[in-house]
Amino acid sequence: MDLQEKLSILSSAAKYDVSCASSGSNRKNTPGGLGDSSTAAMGICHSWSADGRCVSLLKILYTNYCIHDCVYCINRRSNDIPRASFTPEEVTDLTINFYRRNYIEGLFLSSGVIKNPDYTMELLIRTIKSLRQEYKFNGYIHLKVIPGADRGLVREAGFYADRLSVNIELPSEQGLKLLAPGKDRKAILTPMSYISDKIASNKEEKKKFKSAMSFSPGGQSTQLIVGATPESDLQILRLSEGLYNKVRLRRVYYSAFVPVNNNPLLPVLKAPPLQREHRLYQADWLLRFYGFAANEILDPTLPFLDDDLDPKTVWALRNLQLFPVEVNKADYRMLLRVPGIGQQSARKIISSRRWGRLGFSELKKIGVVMKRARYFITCGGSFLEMIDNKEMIRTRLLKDKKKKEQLAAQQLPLNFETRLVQS
Amino acid sequence: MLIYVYDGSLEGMFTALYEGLFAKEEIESIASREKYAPSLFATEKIIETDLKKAGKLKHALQRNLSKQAFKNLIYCYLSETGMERRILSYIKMALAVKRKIDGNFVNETVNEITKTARKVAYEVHRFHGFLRFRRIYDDLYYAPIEPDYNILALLIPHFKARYANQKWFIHDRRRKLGAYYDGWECHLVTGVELNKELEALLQGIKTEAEGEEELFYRELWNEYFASIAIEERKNKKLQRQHMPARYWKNLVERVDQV
Ligand code: SF4
Repeated sequence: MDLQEKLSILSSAAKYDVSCASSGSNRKNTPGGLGDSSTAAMGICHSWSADGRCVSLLKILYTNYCIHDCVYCINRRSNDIPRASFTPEEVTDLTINFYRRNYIEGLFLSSGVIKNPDYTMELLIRTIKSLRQEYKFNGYIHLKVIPGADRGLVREAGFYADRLSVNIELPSEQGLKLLAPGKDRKAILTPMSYISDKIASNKEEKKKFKSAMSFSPGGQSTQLIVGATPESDLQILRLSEGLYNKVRLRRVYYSAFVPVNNNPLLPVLKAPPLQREHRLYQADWLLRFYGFAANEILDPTLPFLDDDLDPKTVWALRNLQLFPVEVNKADYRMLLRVPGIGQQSARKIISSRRWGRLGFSELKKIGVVMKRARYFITCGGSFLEMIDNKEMIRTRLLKDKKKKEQLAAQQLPLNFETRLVQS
Repeated sequence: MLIYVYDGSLEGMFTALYEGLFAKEEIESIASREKYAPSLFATEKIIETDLKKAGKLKHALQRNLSKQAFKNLIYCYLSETGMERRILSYIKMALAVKRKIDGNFVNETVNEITKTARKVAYEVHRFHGFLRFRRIYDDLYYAPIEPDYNILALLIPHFKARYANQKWFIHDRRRKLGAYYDGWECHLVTGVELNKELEALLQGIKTEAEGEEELFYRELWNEYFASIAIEERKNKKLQRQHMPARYWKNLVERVDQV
């Protein structure tokens, strides 16, 4: 089989993994080396694929042969599909040559499991070790850890990779039992917390000895599939919250379930739940940067995110007693909680109000989305519009949203800071 | 109406700004020679670039502005969008207030300067990704770009860091500028013209300038680019939003065909 065909099979097999981030590493180029990941602290997109996703890394599976039979996965053992395996040399060759031409930031290497986890993991390590040592490659490497692999191998991998990830796959243990019978929750969580501890102790070590090798300097991430099993958004957000706070993950990725297999165990969907995925990312954002707790965003009486309005607005409507907020006085934390005020505009408000009182026209200039913020703020004590009825505000917001969607064709892309931090 | 016309160089602009700070009359606008359109109602004053004056002002600014604010002014200059007069207002204000004014986003001048500088910074960031090298004449990595703003000089540090070990040439075709890195240092060149062979290459015609290897990896990249999109999630609009069509021309992946 020629390289082109292999690449086609093994990149197509890897595409369901949504993470493509190349951020957070500090790896500098070395004498005679190729690549540098330190000037790209925020991650760089090199292209955008036809589904509108950022292309940053060469994302491939080492092989799509697999001993497991996970029901949701295109590469499951019982599927009759074309199979292929790379050799370490082929992967390094592709990575180097793509990198030299600035096609990519680096490599994202994952794999189906062949023979056993250790055997597979060793192949992956051999590949990235060769990139680092023989080719002096200092571009970004994201390596997927094979659950069940020996701890020593995970440790070794961390010294070559910029980011490690172990996929949690499904939001609950029951889900995993049902759809991924070959995997168990423990085999996933154990390496996760090992990596987390290792990253923390490595940071301490690096403070003492500058020359100490970095262990997964871009942190750790994971991914879970949304909509293949019946968990609620609240369950998912609680899980993410735990992963951020207790296991100190850098990112949790949510992947709307794409039904690639027919199986009675799988739900029948007309299309992947993309809107749900989108709302989960917004809620995740609130967890990480806006100081929200999962229990504030949702509660057992309301365990799913709203289709029509973003989670922050929904939260504000449920907590109207905390509003209006006086923009000339409120602290950063509270400003962030106002719908229509983002991190950038909150910061600008704080720095600008030292120069004088802010009025509504100033807020607009700063970039506050007045259409949303107007119901929740006062400027120097005065309202733009005083409505204290939840339902009325909701109706108004939905009307604006409809108008906006009609205009969407002419819209500018998202604010770029937002996109950068996302990765 | 008084218009200052300078030679288009950064030093030239600094000289004009320096003159502007001490001018008694109201200055309507400041324009580079290239951008300047003579008008019946305006008096023009040609500003001769004076390195001493330029240097003086630069030092004063570096002393009185925050690092970021100074950088913003340079980015506004590189935007080539006629920001000179606003820059003059900005520095007048900054030197008068004796307080870092860059936090005052409510001020029209500060706001406009910051916004323009961000746009330039964003384009730099985009080109860290959207730039493609082609290996030509055996060992030169050549990348054509056509950025909206004059960002070539701003791109150098990034590519120098990662491709310290290969020769490369980044070519701003709109401005006929080049950055040539010979494996040791980077040289800026002006008035860059391509030979026929390379001109043809960029039109998509196969020439001797590129070897088989180049075509091989480009095809592989295209294979990759086509196979990673998830059919069920297809969203060309989103793709175009992130990567506007004006950038496609100099990419080597065939964006419009998948
Ligand atoms: S382990 Fe499961 S999810 Fe991973 S490749 Fe094999 S079948 Fe697919």
